[in-house]
Parts: sequence; C-alpha cells; structure tokens
Amino acid sequence: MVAARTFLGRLLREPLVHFAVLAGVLFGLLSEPSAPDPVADVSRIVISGAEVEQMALAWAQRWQRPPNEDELAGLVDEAIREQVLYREALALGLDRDDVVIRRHLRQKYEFVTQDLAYDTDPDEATLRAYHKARPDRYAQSAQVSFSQILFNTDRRGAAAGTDAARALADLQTATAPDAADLLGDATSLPSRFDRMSTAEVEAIFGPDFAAALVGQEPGRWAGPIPSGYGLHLVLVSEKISGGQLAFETVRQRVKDDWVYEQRAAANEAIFRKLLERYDVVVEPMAASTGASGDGS
Amino acid sequence: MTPRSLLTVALAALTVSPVAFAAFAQGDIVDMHGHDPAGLDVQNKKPPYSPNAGRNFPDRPLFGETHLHTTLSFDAGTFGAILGPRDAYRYAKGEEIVSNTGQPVRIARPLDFTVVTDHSDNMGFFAEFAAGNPNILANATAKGWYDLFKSGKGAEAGIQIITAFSAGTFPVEIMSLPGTKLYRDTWKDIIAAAEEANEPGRFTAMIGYEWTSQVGTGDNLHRNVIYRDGGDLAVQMDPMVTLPPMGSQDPVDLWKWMGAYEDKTGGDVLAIAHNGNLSNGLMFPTIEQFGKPLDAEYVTQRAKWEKIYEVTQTKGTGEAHPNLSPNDEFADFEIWDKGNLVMTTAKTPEMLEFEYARSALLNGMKLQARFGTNPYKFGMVGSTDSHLGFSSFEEDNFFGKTVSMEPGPERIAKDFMKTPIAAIKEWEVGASGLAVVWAPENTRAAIFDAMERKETYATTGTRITVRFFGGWDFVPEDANTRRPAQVGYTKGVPMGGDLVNAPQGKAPSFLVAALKDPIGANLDRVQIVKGWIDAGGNAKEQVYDVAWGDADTRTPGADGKLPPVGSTVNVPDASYTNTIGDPELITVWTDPDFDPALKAFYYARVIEIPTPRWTAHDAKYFGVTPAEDVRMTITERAYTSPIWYTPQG
Repeated sequence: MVAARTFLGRLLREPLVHFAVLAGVLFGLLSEPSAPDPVADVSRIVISGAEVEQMALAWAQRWQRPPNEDELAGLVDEAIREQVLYREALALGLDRDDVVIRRHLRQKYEFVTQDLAYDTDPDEATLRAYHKARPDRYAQSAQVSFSQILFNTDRRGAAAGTDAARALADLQTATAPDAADLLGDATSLPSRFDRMSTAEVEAIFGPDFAAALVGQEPGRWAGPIPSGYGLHLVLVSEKISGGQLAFETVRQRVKDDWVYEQRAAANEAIFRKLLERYDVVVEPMAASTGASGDGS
Repeated sequence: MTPRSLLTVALAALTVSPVAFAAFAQGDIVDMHGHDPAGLDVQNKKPPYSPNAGRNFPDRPLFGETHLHTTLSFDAGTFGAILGPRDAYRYAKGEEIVSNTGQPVRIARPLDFTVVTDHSDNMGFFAEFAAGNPNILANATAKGWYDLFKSGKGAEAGIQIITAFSAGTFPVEIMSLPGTKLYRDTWKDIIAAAEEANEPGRFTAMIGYEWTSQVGTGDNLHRNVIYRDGGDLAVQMDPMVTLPPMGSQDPVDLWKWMGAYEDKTGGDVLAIAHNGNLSNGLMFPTIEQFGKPLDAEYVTQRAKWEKIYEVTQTKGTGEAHPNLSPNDEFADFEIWDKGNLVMTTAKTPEMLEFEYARSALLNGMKLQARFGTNPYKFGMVGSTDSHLGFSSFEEDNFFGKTVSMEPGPERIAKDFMKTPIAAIKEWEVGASGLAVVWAPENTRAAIFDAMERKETYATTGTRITVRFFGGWDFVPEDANTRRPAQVGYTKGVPMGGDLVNAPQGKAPSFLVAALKDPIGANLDRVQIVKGWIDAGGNAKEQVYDVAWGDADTRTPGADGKLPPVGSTVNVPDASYTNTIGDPELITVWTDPDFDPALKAFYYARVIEIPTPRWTAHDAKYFGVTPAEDVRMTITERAYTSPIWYTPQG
C-alpha cells in the first residue's frame, strides 16, 4: 500500500511518467496471454462479402452515390493494403513504442471498465449523514451590500495609493450621501451593490477583492482594496451570513455529490486492483542511462 | 481636512495624469450632478437619483455556454467521452471533476449558465448500451457486443460498434430514434439533469439539443435549439432529428418543428447556427438554399427563429475573414478555412462571403431591400462545442474539443483530422468561447429573453465586460460618469437594438464601455465595426479604433493607424504582464461618415493585449517543442451584437 501510494505520488508530480507508465500498465494488461489474439491466422487475409458491402455502403453514405467498379476495387485494394501493413507493423512491434496507440487503448480500456462498480441509489439515511458531515459545503452563500470608489492605478500611477488614503480621510468626515460620487475616477464598474453573493463579487472584481471585502467592518469607509482595475475604497453597509441549507432543499445536490464521490472511489479502486498485478519500478532519472546494464 | 477640501482632493486627483484621460471624452467630471460641493456637509437636498436605479438594469453580464456535448452524443461517446450532463453542470458550477482520461479538472471560475446540447440523432445510444439497457440487449447484435464488453473485451466491442455505425450497418431497430423508448428516456434524462442543476438566481441550466444537419459531402448547417421552458413543456415533444423519415436536413423543416413545438406547448424556443466557416458557402445563402430560390418565407422564418449566431468556438472563429476584409488588421484570427466539416470538399474563395458573420450582416441588409425582411439580423454569442462533457475554453486550462485532445505531450503535434483534402492539427483547435448576456436576473426566462432581443455578445473565452449603446444624443461627458449603463439605457438602445428616424442633421453616437477580465489581461483597444450598403447597392465596411490603452503615449500615425500595443508575452514561461494596455476603456463615438439615406450596422470589438495561447501552456508543461507554424500567442476579444440603423420608408 505504501509502495502504491509513493508510486502514485510520484506519478502526480511527473505527468510525463504518468502517461507513459499508466499506458504501459494497461498495454501490458491487454497483451496478457488470456487476451485473444486479434489475428488468428497471420498469413491469410480474407475480405468477406459482408465487408465489401460495408465499404460500398460507407462510400455511398459519404459521396451520396454507390461506388463504380473501379472505385470498389480501389476500396478493396486499400483494405488489403491496410491489413498487410497493419499486420507487418504488429509483427515488428511498432505499436509498442507509440504513445498515441498506447493512450488510445488506455482510453478504450477506461471506457469499458469505468462506472461499472458503484451504487447510484443511496438510501435516505446515508444522504442525511453525508449532508450533516459537511456543514460548510451545504451553506448558503454570504451576501454583502456595499459601495465602492475606484482609484485607477493605470491613470494615477503611484499616486493612486495616496489619493485613496486622502479621500478616505475626507470620507470619514463627510456626511452627504453622495459625497462618494465626487471622489475617485469615472468607471463603468457600478458604485453600489445590493445583496451580492460573494460569488458575484468575485465575478466582477476577482477573488482577492471579494475576500478582502467580506472581511471589512460594516458601516464605515475602508480600504483601499486592490483589484485588477485599481484601488477601491469600500463601504460595507450590510452583511448577511450564509447559514445552513436544510437537507430537503439540497437533497439532489447531496445525492449528486455522494454518487460522484462513490464513482471516483470505485474507478480508483478498479485501477488499484489492476495495479496489484504489477511490480512497478520507477527508476530515478539520473540512473536511467547508467542502469541499462542491470537487466533481468 | 475640511469637507470643503473634498473638491480640492478630487481636482488634484484628476490632474495627476490628464493625458491618461485621452480615452475619455473631454469634460468636467468633478461636478457631474451640478451640485455645489459646499453642500456636501449639509442635509442632503435631493439625491442624484434613486439609489435603487441600478436595479433596472444588470450590474454585470452573465457568462455561459450554449453548445456542449456529453457522452449522450453518439460521436462524443464513441470518441471516448464518459461524462454526462450532470458532470457538465457540476463542472460549470465550479466543482472539480475527473476528466474522461482520468485527469482532475476544475474551471477557474464558475459559469452563470449552461445549455447541454447533445446531438439529437441517435441520442443516448452509447451511454445506454454501456449501462446494459435491456431494450438494447434484446437485439442479437447488440447482445453480442455487450457480452464481449462484459467479458473484458470492451475494446473489441467498441471497435465493432463504431465500425458498424460508420459503415451504415448499425441495426436500425436499436438505433435511438424519436418515438422509441430509448430516445424518450434519454431526452427525459437530459431534461431531468437540467431541472436538477437549475438554481434560479445562482446558476441556470437550460434545456437544449443540437440539430446536426450535414448536406452535400459534409457541409455544416448545424443549429442548437435552446428552450426558454422547463421540463414540463420540453418533455412534450422529442427533438427534431436529421434522419428521415421523421427528420430532415433542411433548416426550413427545423423551423417548422420549432413552430409546431410552440403551438403544441405554448413554449418558446430559438435556434443558434454555428460554424458557417465549415459550411462551404451554405450557411448564409443569398440566392438559393436546398435547390430552391430564396423566398420571402425563408427570410422571414430565418429572422424569426435565428436571432443570434455562434460566432466563435473551438473549430474556428467566424466574425470576419482576411480575404473579405483585407483592411481589417485583426480579421486573421483563429481561422478555419480549409474545407467543410468533414473535410471532404476543399474551400474555394467564393464560398467565404456566405460563411462569415460580417459579410452575412452586410448581405442581410441587401436581402432586406429585396424581401422587406433582413434574414441575417443576428446578435453574437460564442461557445465551445466541446465533446468532453464539460466546457473547456481557458487557455491555461484547455482540455481540447474531443477526448483524444485531453492534455498530453503529443497533442501539440497530432492531427485533429486528416483527409486527402487537408489536415487540421490539434494545435489549430481554439480554446474558445463564451456566450455573454445582459439579463436582469439569472433565470431561464431572463437569459432567453436577452438572447431574443440580442442583448448578447461573444468572447473568445475570457470574461471581458462590454456595454454598447447607440442613440442620437450621446455626448462626450456621458463617458465620464460613474453610471454609464444608466446613461446608456436612458439615452439610447443597447446592443442588438435599432436606430430609426435620424433627426435632421444628426449622426448616430455610441457609448461603449469595456472592462478587462477581472483576473485577466488588459485591453489593447475598442473598435467599432461599421457596415453599410452604399447608394449603388454595394456592401461597404470600415473598422474604427475608438478607444485604446496607453493613450498618453500611443497616438495614431499620419496614416490614421494606431500603433500596435506591443507584447509582454514570455512564450517559454507561458506568462505575460499587464504593464501595457488599460484595464478599462470607455468613450463616446459619433459616426463621422453618416449618411441618413443608407442602411448600416455598428458593432463593437474589444481586443485584449497578447497573452499566451494554450499551445504555449502545453509546451511549458510538457516540455515539448512545437513546430514552427504553431501559434503561441493570442489576442482574445469580444464581439458585441450590432445596433442597426434603418432609414425611414
């Protein structure tokens, strides 16, 4: 288990190794003796009447008319050529060092093995327990009402900070509701927001601004807080904390989350089980050339 | 400091960098409400206007996806997509998911809305088969595949299924056709997934599907059908397909289906066409379509059902083509012009005019003169057309268009598709785009209605905010307020609107305000693209630079051309800095060449400073060296819906 963990940890850190090794593992699976030989008789090529018919149909579907005799003969020739070269390529093992083929097979393997081993119908008690154990996840988004004044750093340069600080001092003493409208720069960013969720604040000002905003004490001008647009003085007028969402209102989400986790765990379990069949050795990078003589 | 010195502060602040205001019109912005600053410390006399005025129009645009495939699309399923609509919505809401190739993936910021649009033909077959649906397994061929599948020979089964389908020998009796139980169940499940994910006010999941018409040897006439309605209405009819006998490849028949749906249910649907660039001259016809001369019926129906067009996506951007717009230095952007959708017929130059949005907007005005209706009076959106089961459009987080393109060291060099006609490399696939709507609330109805009034714009994947208003009375001072939206809606019409009845001696003026993506790149410039039909009936176009970054040091040359903004991109490091360009551009522009007798349209194009393209992020992450022709930087952009001017009479 420890070995597997270390192995996976390494994989996560080294994506190139990730793809190569994992694809190699699955390729190894498909090449197991129990797997069927894709070509039963390597020296005999049979193009069946049904296959010829399929080629003609495919042609007709693409070109909106049936192929003529020459064209059909060409299709058959092409199929024969493909079989000959495909088999010769397999015989030479050309499929084995091809990253595209490896990944394609890996994807096919994952497609057929994934999502077969998890329960999609949890009972009520399971879901309630899952909901209860994750109070942060099933909380209502906090909302905030605020005003903002922009000091555009692009226009004011280094002076933006001192301008904002002076304006902040002015605002502490100003009493008129529209005093803020006379400070800062013109902008198409709205100056007042009513009951915005933190996600909406993030969408407008970016996550850093949103995090700083919700940390402000309501009722007084504060800042400046930086965003991608410049420095902002902010006045938080109202904060509504999120609170818990009742199980009944988020039942479907809880179920989705639960199923999703089951599915990820089941797919990971399949991989772990397959991995048990292998003795995986990841050699250190520097040793990869020097250790070439250490064959088995 | 006394309250009186507030004015001084404000004035001082303004004089710090007067040149930087070049993008703004001239004017005194200090006393914008005509108040005496000395009145700041007395009881308020009268507020400038209701503080709730802002509630009449949206504070921010909603960013979303209108074109997304999951495992329920037959092609996506066979390409290896295992993610379904529920995964798509989870991802859009910001949850981490595991991709089709087992890689963890999460969107940088949630989307506001998403429409899952699986192909209506053979919808749901693959997923149901994989799940062992007994109705499918009743068929001997399918049972054979499934037994292979269950005995661990899934790869073989997969190959046989795909071969049968592409060879046309797929058993019709188990094909997912409208009216069958499988089809109904799939459609119901798509609807159920949207109903579950839909959270009015927070995230909107709209119901939709793609009608995948391909004519000739594979010329793209695809449309996405989007519902305003909930599942109670959408479930009443199976989607329109293209396979006869119940389906058709002719858009006219799709519109009939849409009409029938609305008549039957009282619901509301619209269609969004896409990839005119892969239609080989068929997307925006002017002479005939489906072998019939264009007629009044076609133009009125098209104008009725197709009010917006998807102008940018992974398979190329179709706003303008450099051959059609040789004087537009930004027209050569993520162009796909080698052939049709399946690359069985090569592109010829005379096809281009009937494929690109700008030429269609122009031809539409000509057709209006002939038929009395403009069939191509459409607004703009972008979307991805991802076949992954999740929307991927971020340059530094791009999972490609199909499962074969999910991140890996080889994709930068691989063929995306190759035929005797041409090859398209995977690096040519673009990380684009987004559909953006100015809707007053985040609900199905509000978003749909914004689409119908064309108050939408497209971006190539970043979250630029752009407001665009046209009217007769905008003055430079309007660009200097804190509330350009208030001014815009009061004095003009927003994007997608109409100007008529030009007052004597007046030219139309436009208020345009653009904000950079809050965590993205600065803006290079804002342009207004004008198209008009001259007195001789000829289509004309002109691109005006109306506001630009670094305006203190950057002025148009003697030829009137604005110098390039430059580039801060470090390609090996896949990084850039916001030391050039501006975070916000706003201006009022008045058409200097206006002729009230001529039809015209105007739309805004906002261009970002250069940033690393997804290929640069790939090269850095995988340590691979791309071929020399691989584009490594990109100038992301936004295209607004036009505002049309129509002379009286």
